[in-house]
Amino acid sequence: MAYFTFVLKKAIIYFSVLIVTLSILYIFTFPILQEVISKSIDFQVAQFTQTLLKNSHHLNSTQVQLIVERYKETLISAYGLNQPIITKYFVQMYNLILFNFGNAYFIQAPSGSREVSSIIAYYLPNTVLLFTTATIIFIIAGTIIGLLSAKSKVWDKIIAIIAVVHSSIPTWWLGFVLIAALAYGVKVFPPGGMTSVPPPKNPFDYGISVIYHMTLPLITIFIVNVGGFAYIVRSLVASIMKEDFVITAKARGIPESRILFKHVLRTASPSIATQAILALAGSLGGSLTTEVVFEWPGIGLLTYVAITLNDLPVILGVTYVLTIVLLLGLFLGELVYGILDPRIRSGE
Amino acid sequence: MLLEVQNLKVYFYTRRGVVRAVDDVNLNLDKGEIVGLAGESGSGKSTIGYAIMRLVPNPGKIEGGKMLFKGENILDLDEDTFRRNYRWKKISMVFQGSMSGFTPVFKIKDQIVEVLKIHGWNGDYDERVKELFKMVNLDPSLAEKYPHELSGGQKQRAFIAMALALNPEVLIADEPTTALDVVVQEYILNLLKQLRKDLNLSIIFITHDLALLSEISDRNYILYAGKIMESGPSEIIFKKPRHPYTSLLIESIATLDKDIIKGISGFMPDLSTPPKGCRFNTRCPFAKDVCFNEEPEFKKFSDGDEVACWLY
Amino acid sequence: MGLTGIIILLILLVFTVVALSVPAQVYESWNNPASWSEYPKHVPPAWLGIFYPNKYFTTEQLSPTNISEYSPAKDIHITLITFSFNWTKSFPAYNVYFIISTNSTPIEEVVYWNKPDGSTIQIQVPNSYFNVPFDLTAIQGFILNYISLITGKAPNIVNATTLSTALFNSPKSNLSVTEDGKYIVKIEVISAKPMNVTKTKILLLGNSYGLMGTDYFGKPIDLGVLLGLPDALEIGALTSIVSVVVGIIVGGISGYLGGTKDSVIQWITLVFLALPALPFLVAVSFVTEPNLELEGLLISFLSWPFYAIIARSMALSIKSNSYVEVDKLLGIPSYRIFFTHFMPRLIPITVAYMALGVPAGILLAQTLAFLGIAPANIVTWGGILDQAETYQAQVNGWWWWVVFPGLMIVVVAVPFVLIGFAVERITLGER
Repeated sequence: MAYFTFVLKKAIIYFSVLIVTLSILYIFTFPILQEVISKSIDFQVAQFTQTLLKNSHHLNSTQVQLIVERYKETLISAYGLNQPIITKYFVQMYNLILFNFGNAYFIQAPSGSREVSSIIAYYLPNTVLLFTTATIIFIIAGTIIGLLSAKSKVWDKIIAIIAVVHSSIPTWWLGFVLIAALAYGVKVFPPGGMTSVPPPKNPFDYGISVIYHMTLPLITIFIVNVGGFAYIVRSLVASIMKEDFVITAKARGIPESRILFKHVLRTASPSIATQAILALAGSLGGSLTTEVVFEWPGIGLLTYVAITLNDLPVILGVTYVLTIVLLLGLFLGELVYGILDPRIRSGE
Repeated sequence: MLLEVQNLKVYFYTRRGVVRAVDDVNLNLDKGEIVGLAGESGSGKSTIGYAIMRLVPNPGKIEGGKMLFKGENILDLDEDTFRRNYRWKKISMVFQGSMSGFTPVFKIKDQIVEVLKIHGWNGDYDERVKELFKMVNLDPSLAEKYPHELSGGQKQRAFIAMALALNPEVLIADEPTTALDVVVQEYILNLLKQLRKDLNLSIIFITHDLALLSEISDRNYILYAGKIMESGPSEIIFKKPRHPYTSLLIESIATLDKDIIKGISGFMPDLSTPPKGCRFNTRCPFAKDVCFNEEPEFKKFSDGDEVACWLY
Repeated sequence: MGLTGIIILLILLVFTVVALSVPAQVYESWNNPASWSEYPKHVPPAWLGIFYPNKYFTTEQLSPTNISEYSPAKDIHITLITFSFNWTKSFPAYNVYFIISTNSTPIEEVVYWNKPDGSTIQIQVPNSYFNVPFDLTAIQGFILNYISLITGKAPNIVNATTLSTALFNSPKSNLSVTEDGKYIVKIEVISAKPMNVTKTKILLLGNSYGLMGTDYFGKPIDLGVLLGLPDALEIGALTSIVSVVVGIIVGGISGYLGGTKDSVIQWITLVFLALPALPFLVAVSFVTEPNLELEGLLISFLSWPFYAIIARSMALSIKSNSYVEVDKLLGIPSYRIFFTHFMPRLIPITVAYMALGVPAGILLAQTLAFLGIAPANIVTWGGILDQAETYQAQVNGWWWWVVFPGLMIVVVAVPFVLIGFAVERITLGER
């Protein structure tokens, strides 16, 4: 029961934060959004006018103009452009909840749809495929390395070094260097993209091609991030090792490896799990530069292209998605912490 | 003699130098005895407890001496043998009351069962846990809870239960009642006395609070700055102490009928550079010249008291 | 560990001072490709010549060995500038630059390029290049003619290097083998009146340059790296100090106050944490003329929640320390406790994070520059790398363009990280 109240409290907090954040975003991007919508309307009106002129020769110019005007008005009211700000606000929020971001200016999904939500839906899985996989790998490796540091001084020193690596190397630069070295210098890996061109038809070959293309970015993300995560785990473990129950565990005859991998790990797991979820949620945010360097067709590359083309609906759409993902991640992190730490579960 | 600690030395190798926390200490424990080990904080008393369990933390090392358990020197054994045959099996330990002795994320019952399993104890685990809880007068249903759900006193009793799981012969109680309220304190003391009676358990009771020892121990060792100052039966120690330090300690016990709480002036010497002569020399009201030059030897008295002081 | 960090930092500061002392016009001319026309384009660092002496050489500058004037007829003055040099490499120069400045406009300029085997190329300098430095691409018409005359066909790729083969390779070998030996270059400047040659030299461009090579435009990478240093440090320090100080104060107060006020501040922190950086940055770069300080403030504006969370959890653990309770009992007002007990305890962690925050800020700023979001007229390593990516440096094998600017980012980040970790370890040890 205590856990349920805990979840409820957290849910309220995060949902309210979501609304407020999106509201702030809305206020900030309000003028841009107005421009987006009015441009969209103008575009639709122009199209409408064209088809109208093509198909109805029997109408004279004033009649045509009237019809067009009326059409424009329906559009304006449909988009709520003539509504007071409050209504516009609610309409916008409503659209966001439904993931309705409107249409892109220039970008098109491979399926042909111009809806921003479809575009994002197409590219998002690629980002998830690459980054989530990479994150899971470095989380596991980092946890193991971090734990090992409690046992041996050697690992402790290694972590210190690779943690420095993490904090000082930009992922995209390492990607750049590795591409130059391993894709052009020694032609071991492909220099970019997700599959070979043209993509193989056979699903098995397709899968192999994707894995082959994924290897280099995966290695890059891993090298840059594993040190940081290992350092976090190491700090957590080190502070737990100082706690009394570790000595008493040794006193009652439990072998050291069991103490480390069962008692300490389990005690550290709420914090580690939280960090893991944060890493997962944040990994998508870091996709922008890495995808650009590797030409990986995910939302990072999408955003970059959208920025260069000034395709505002896409930029805003991706932003909203990422915000939701981040908050969801933080929320889940807190939930998981609550599950794993019995002190919270039974209501301390 | 069940346990004989001879010439125990425990040194800590720190950046500031070698701290001689325990320097040539002798301690005996017979079957069914409750022996008190008293001293100020920093005197080394807990270190002795840890040394007997061979759990001295880094940067400390046991640098000499023998520990004879029923005649066998357990200091010589390798870590694995000691862990499997002695630690918790023959000698177990209860820690300071405020310590989180249990791992916070596992249920109490599971931790006791773990101890049983690791030491190869076979049988009905649930029954055994119930049995142990009865021994310490705890409601067995509490075993299903997590450590943080128990009160301080309950946690300490549960820990004692876990310490008794393998029927040890020696129980080292290191400040078991500190940070618990007075009522619970009494409870624990009585429990320990009960356990000694029922199980013929031998207990080393480590504390800074002499008043506690006066209620529970048969014999006492008074420790100061890593060395034993006086040791003897409780009647002598508490009624007719011979060492100045012991007298001062007893005088400083606050009781309801005393108006003034007296302390002992001065500070314990820095154990990385122990003083020449008797270690108490700077704070002793009776210090003579010889006290600053030579360490006093132990003198035995017919009433069972042993003192290391130049007054005798 | 921290000591290494401090040493590296001091070295960097020395370089920063050097960078700041570079005259402003060099700085501004960075983005103007014309200022770098006399530098070899996209060549590797010069020190490669130590390892491969036969493959790499640097630019050789030639001064005239002789300048003579004569007047063969009335109203015709000829100034003859003679250069000579010894060519010992087995391949042509990367490019050749002719610089002929005179105090009045000549009528005609002819270059006679005499090769060791005796053959000569005669090149008429186009009018538009009188008194203007010109290279082989400027006179490619003549050279291409010459090449097709000798070899019978035009080269596939026309760039300075292929044109250079005309000048350095022997006609006998169909312009495929470089001639070593003595070259004599005579430049005839014909004018109506007597003329003074104010400046003249010939540059035989090397195929390597400087400490770190050059980029597509010939800009020396080492200069770019140096110029980018002060700004990088500035933005790193700015974002770090602002976001850490703000974050720790907010977090510290929040943890100290506890209760509802704590929850409210936590909630606000969460909102800022959730605010996505991208739209703000993009929008700001659209709207205003982005400058360094603004960018720094914006990044700080979005970064402080991270430190607030850390400070808050530290504050909570300090709060459970008994002497704070004692003080409260003694009646000392809260704000005094805050300043005498709390804040001092938070200082070590503040210092540690300020040190660690600098590389984070630098990295972020350089990343933004790489994406094209940066103040327009400053030099950034991210900007250099952005150009490298645009011009496909990795495909063309121009590794120096990619490696050195990025390496600089790492090198600058490392001392701060070392110092930060060292401080963190010390403070944790004390606890």
